[in-house]
Amino acid sequence: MQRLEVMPRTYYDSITLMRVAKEITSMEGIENASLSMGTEANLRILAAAGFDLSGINVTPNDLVIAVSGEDAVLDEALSKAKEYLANPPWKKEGGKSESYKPRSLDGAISVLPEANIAMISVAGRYAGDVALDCLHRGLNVMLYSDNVPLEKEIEIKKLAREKGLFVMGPDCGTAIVRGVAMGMANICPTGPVSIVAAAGTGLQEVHVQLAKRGVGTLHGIGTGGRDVRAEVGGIMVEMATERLLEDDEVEVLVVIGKPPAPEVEKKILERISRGDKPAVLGFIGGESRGDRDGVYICTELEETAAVAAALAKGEDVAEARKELDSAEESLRELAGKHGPRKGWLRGLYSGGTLCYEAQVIAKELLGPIHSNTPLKKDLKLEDSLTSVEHTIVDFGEDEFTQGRLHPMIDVSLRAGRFVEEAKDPGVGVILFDVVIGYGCNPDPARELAEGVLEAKAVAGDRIAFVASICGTEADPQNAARQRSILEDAGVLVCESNARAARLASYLLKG
Amino acid sequence: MTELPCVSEGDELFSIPLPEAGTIVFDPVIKPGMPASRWRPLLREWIFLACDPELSLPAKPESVEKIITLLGLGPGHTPAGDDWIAGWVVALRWCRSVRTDALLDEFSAFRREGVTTWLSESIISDALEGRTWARPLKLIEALQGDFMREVLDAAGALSQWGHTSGRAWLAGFASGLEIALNHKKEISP
Repeated sequence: MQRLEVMPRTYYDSITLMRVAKEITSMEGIENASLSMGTEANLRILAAAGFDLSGINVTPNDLVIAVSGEDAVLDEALSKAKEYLANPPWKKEGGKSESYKPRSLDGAISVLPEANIAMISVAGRYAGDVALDCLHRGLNVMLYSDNVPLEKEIEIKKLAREKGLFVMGPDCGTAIVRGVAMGMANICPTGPVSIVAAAGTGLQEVHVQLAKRGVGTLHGIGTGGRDVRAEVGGIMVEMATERLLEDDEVEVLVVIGKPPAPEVEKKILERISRGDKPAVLGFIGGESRGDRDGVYICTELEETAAVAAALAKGEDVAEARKELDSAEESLRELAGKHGPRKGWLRGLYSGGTLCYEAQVIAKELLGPIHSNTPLKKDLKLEDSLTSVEHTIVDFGEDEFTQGRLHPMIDVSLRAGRFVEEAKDPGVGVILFDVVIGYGCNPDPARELAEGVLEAKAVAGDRIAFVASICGTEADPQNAARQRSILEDAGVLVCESNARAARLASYLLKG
Repeated sequence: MTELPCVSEGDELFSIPLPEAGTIVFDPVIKPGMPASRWRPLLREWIFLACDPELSLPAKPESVEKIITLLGLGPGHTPAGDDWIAGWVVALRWCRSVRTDALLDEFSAFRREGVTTWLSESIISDALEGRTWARPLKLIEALQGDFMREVLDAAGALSQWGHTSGRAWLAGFASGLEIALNHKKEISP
C-alpha cells in the first residue's frame, strides 16, 4: 500500500528531506519513504520506485511526501514526516545554543570584514546576481550553485577579469586554496603542484592520485565546466593559469578537464609554453598528443597525476607512464582470473568528470556507450532511468539534483539502481565510483554495499561489480575502510577510476 | 562573586556550593550606549527576521500607532508582536535621545493595559523603565565591542529564545536601533 501527499509551495533543504525520509523508512511497517520536490525527474524516480502518481497535481515548487508499506502505519508515517519537517528531532540534540549565522551578504561582511572569498550556494537563477554583488565588493567567488545561465556566467566572468578577481564555477564543487579544501574535497598534503580544473571530481581524483604518490597540492582552482567552451573563451582557465605560473611556490602546473574548444586549447598551450615551469595538460579523451618542451599531454586523470608527481619529485616521466602500462597488464590478468562476463556494462556514477572518463575508456574497448551525458549526442539516453545496451549514467546531472541531494551525499538512488540493473538478464558488469571527503556521505560504501548484496541476491554471480574510491585514508570516511566494506560485499575495487573503467571493460571483452 | 553558579536541568540544588558571603547581583538596568558602527549591516539584517513566515510581522511599522497594533499579536505567553515591541523599546532605551524618549512617551500614552498576557505586559513595562533580561544585556554589551564571536554567540542565544520570541525580539530591537541611530546621525555635526 502507499500514500502520497503534496504540500503546495513548500520548500525544505535537501539535507532535511533526506534525514526525514531516513527516519520514516526506519519505522516499523514502512517499506519506502521519499520526500522530494515535485520536479519532473523526481516524479519519474517515484514512478520507477512503484508509486502510482496518476491524478496528482504537482509543480516543482511543491513538496511530495511518498510512503509505502503496511496500510495501518501509512497515515502515521505521513504525519510523522510533517512533524519532523516542522520540528526536526536532530535539532534538539545537545541543547546547546548555536551562534547566529548571518543571512545576508552585508551581514556576513560586517562579521568577517577581512574575507576575500565568498562561497555561493543558492538557487541557480539567483546565483549569478549574488556573484556580481560579491565581485562589486571585491570578493573572489566560489560559485557552488549550478543551473546558472550561460549568458550570466559570461557577464560574471568578464567583470571578474576586469577586477582581477576569480570566479570558480558555476557548479564548482571543489576548490583548494593554499592547501585548504573547500566544498567536496579530500584531505591531502600541501605541496608543489597546483591544478586548474573544471570544478569537481576531476580535480578530486588528481588531488587524491597525487597524494597517493606522496605529492601535495597547493592550489586547486575550479573554473566551471563551461569555461573552456568557445562562448566563455576560457576566461578563468586563462586567469588561473597566468596566476599560478607567476606564483613562485608553484613548481608544477596541471590543467585538467574535458577537451576545450580548439581556440581555448590553443590559448592555454601558448601561455603554458611561455611559462618557466613544467605543465601537464590532462584533457580527458582529448585529441592532442605528444609532449613538447616542458608541456606534457595526458588523456586520463591518473596519468595526469602520475606525470605531475614524477615532475614534482624530479623523476623520469617515461618511467611513470611505463608503470601505468604494467598496471594495465595486471588488470587484464585480473579480468582473466575473475572470468569473462557476458552482456552489457552499466556504469552508475556520482562524479561528472569520472563518468566522462569512464565513457572515454569503455568506448575504446567496448564500442558505443549510451549516457545521459554522452560523448556523442546520438547516444543520449531517452530516459536516464532506463539503460540501453552499454550505459553509463551520471547521477550528479542537474536532472537528478533539482530538489534532491547530490549523489555524493545521498547514495540511495544508486544503491536502488543496482537492484534494477541486476533484474536485466543482459547485464554483465556494474561499474561505479565512490567519492569521499569533506561534504560527502559519511559512509557511502555501507549503503552501496547493501545495494550490491541485494543485487547479487537477484542476479547471483552473473554480474561483476567494479568500483574505485576517490579519497584518502585521512578522509573522514577513510578510504581503506570504505574499500574493505565494498570488498566484503564482493566488489572489485581499483586504485583509480581509469583502472576501474578498464577492468570493467576487460571483464566483458575478455 | 558576581554570578550564581551554573545550574543545569536535573542538577540537585543542595549539591551546588553557594557562596557563603558576598553579593549575588544581576543588574537588569540598560546603560545608555550605542553599537559599534561595524555591526550596522548585521543589525539591518535582523530587521527582516520579522518577515519569517512563522512571525509574519511588519518589518518596519511606520508609526507608534501601528506598533501598538502589534500588542498581543501571535500565540504563546509572549506573543511575537509583544516580543518585537520589547526589543524595540530596549533599543530606544539603550540609544537614548530626545527623539527616542518622545517615541517611548507616545507609545506609553497609546498603550492600554489588559491587551496582552501578564508576562508580556511585565516585560514591556520593565523595558520602558530601562530594565531587561540577561540575554539582551549580553547582546548589548557585545554590540558595543568589536568581537565577532561574542556578537554571534549572544545573537544566537537570543534568536533561539523560545520558539519565535528571540527572532521577534531581535527584529524589534534592530528596528528600534535603526530609528535611534538615524536620529543620532541627523543631529550629529
